[in-house]
Amino acid sequence: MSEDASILLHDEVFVHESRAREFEAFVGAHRERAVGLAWKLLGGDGSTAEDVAQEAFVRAHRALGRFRGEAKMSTWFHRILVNEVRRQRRWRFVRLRRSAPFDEDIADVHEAPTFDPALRRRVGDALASLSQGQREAFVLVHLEGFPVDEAAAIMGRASGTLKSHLHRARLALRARLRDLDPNQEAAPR
Amino acid sequence: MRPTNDPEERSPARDEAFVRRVAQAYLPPLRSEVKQRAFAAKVDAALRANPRIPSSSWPWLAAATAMAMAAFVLFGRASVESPEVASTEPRIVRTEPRTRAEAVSADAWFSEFEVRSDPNEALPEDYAAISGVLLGS
Repeated sequence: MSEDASILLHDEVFVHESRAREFEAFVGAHRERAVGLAWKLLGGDGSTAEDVAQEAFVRAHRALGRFRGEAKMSTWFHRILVNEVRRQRRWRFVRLRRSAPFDEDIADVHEAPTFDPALRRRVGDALASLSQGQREAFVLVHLEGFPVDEAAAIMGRASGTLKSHLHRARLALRARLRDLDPNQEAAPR
Repeated sequence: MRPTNDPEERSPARDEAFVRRVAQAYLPPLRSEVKQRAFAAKVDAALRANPRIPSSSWPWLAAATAMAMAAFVLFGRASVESPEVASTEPRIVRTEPRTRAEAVSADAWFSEFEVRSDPNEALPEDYAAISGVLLGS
């Protein structure tokens, strides 16, 4: 093996090892956030959210060799997670008949004093009524705080498309959740 | 997209307040330390059980997948078209009429067809039992 090839191979191994360490740190820091995002996208199914997050971490780990570092690791991973949620939702109608989401988690957790399970369920139902693109855009940008461009990259859509989804999602949600709209409260119908 | 002439619809402040309320109402349940640690252990075990695939292996993996799919398509089609494959479905076999007189009579018309079925095929009660297992009843 020539000296140049040896150096290239050494560099490649070094890059892979550093990515592996970066991924390990990323998993430790984003484990719970991944579960939270999956929970929101799945409409409040806690156990499925854990399974989806775990599967996304496994898929990302196996595909780490293909990650070139052109995007942020966070963007790359969340795209895998969103794809995993989409896959999960395709089979969800079967799971919904076998288990009731929400209820299983409520008794097990320590909630904030303002926690209102009925309201949370209503918001979950309203989000579930949106199209896939609208729901993902709303959750990523408004509930998870991703910038529009990053959310668009995660969803694999153009920024303009994502803004359109966001606008339509807000209109639809305001129509369904009028009591959460401050202006509606100020001017009762 | 429909035009939004309603000033309320275009108000960023109104949107922001509404979105903030939705976000507050739709927080995921707080997970206990025990649950978080259990999940962390599960993820770590899953990552150890699924080692990452080196980048140099991806072209080989893609080629192997393509070859497996091609083999499946070729051999799958061959097995479907193979005349030796026995079918458990009841088969209707048309037999040749022996005489013209037999062919024109109604009885003979029915006798032209012979239903052959597999003696080992599942009975209706077996179907019920199988469907009961599948449905979890």
